Amino acid sequence: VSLRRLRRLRRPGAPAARLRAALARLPRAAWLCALLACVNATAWSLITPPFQGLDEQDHFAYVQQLAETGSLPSSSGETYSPLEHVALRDLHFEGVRWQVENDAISSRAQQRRLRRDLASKPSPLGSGDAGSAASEPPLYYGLAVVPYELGRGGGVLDQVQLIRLLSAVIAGLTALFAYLFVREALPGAPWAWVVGGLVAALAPLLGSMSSLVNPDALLYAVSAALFYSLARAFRRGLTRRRAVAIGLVTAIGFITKLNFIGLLPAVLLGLGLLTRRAARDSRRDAYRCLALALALAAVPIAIFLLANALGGRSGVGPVSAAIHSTRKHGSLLGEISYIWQLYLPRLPGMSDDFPGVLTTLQVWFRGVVGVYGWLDTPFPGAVYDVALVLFLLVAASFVRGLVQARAVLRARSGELAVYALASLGLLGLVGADSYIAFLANAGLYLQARYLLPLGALGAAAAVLAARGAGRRWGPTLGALIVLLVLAQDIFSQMLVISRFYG
Amino acid sequence: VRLPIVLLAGLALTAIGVGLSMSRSPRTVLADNSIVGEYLIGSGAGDTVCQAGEVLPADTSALHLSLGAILGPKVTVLASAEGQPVTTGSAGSGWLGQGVTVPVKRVARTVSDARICIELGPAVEQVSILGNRTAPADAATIGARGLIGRLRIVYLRPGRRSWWSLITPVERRLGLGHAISGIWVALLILVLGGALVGLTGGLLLTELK
Repeated sequence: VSLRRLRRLRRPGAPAARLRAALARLPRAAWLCALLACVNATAWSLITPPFQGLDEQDHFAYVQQLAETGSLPSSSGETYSPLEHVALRDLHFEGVRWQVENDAISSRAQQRRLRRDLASKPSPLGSGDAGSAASEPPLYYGLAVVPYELGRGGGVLDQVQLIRLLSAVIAGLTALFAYLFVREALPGAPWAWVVGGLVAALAPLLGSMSSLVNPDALLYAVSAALFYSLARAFRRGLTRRRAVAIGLVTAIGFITKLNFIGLLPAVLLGLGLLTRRAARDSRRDAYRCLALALALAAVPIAIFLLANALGGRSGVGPVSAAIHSTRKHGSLLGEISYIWQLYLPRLPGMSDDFPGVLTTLQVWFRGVVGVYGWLDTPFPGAVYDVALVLFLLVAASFVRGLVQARAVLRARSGELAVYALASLGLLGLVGADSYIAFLANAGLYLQARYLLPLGALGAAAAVLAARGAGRRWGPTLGALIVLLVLAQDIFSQMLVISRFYG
Repeated sequence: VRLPIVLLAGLALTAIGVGLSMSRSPRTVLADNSIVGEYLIGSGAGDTVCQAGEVLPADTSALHLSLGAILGPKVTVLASAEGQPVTTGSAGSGWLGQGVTVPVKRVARTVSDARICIELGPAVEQVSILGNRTAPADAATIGARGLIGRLRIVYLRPGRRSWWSLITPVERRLGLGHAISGIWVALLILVLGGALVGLTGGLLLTELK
């Protein structure tokens, strides 16, 4: 039976053979963009001290819990395993986090103490706490168990580094899918695809976040894969295989990070539009494809609902708890006003939820340009001013590119509406979450990394900006955009080195 | 414009930028007020926090204040002695963490018994004031109200050594507390950085023809 199955897989028409052929057809530039993203994230993984990435201590605790006990975390407390506790203590975790005047460990005596304490084999068994990571779905952490086990012989620092390398490989996938997305979505100028791929590969925010023990790395890759799947179906039509791809990617997104829910409305709209278009040829086939995609996407939701029902929790767990909290303490109008101001300047008549702060520039633009460490390490203020001027110049070319392509864009308005809804859905979800925290006075969700699931759209914007300069000047502008992002990446790495080791 | 020239010019500009950044000096710690900033001694927004009895060292060019916020307000510092202003400065809103560095006009000579007043702009949420509990007579004030302790303040001055001269200590520290030890960490980062630049340049030259 095994031999027969093997032969079937080797046949040219078998799924594995088809996948191999599809991978072989990918352009060399796409693979190189993936390699660059991987190299970039690997460099970032060596620069950021262990556990000094955002919430990395919580995400590592989740992986450890899964690897050591085979069970998911049970609490959002912060009592870590003795092994992690010793590592955090000897690495001066609390003294360095949020305290920019304190560097990472800096003497051989501190290093010897760390090695000695870790060699005394503290227990890796925790209490089931995983801090802010506790409520996240398990896919990334399940994958991270593999490098965790590979590093078991070397100790906790090796385990952290190996999981970070897994994230770096996933960064390669993000850049690969971003390249493939711009190839499908903007097929008119093949020379410009590399601009999108390189902007994604070299973006320092993606590199730094995908260099950590953090499920965000996988969320970015899955989101880019979703945009690619949708763009491919819009360009080539909805077939059974493409419906399976959209359904599978959506299912993977759901078990990667809860933020993926923000992209769900776009998936539904996209499938609806694609089905309507495909129904012109065959209604039956079109609705079969739709049913297939929805069924695949719904599997993890069904498992989630079942697990919560069996565990005696409310239907959709943290999501329904969040909705309940908003209903109890806030108002719909207040929430809309808050979410508006989270991203855009306040309109007349709105209460001032962000006094003294222009969130568009001070939170989101600055965040994309670069605020590192525990969001406590910005560039000098003048850097953001220069970056704003450069951004406006590139944005002007982007607008020109949009105007030039208006006829094509009008014909593809349905597809554009899907991408717009994806953006609104994600921004709305982050805003709604932040509103709950705002009402409870429990912090704010003001981190540019939450925008990175839209990275593929950012890559497409860079391509449009390059195209906006025309065929003669477009390659030059494209090269300049890529060089700017490369320079941003280099200076960001230097900033983080000065923060932790200066 | 030929693409190789654009690439070379862009990379040369980046290299010049790196060189200029490396020739700057990082701020170094002159002194602190011996307060450990680990306790919450109060909170405020749109208020003025004042603390007397500070020693303001000569050459101070910035103050690092132990204030905690997720989206910090504008912070303005006014230091005075015997009723006369000594120095002033401000940091814009939008900072995050458990500390904010406020650049001030350089202090020419050491001033003992200075009074430091910190004006907190309007904020999204209350700013945590971090320090140590002290006797009420020594405690900081917020508006007309006394806090339960003193705020931690670190006094900074421009460093005298450039980042160039700090390469060796930074390279040594990069090799501590990681899975890989020693000079290999810094070397690997350099090799990966070189690969990034080389591959990016090569890819642009071949694809953007």
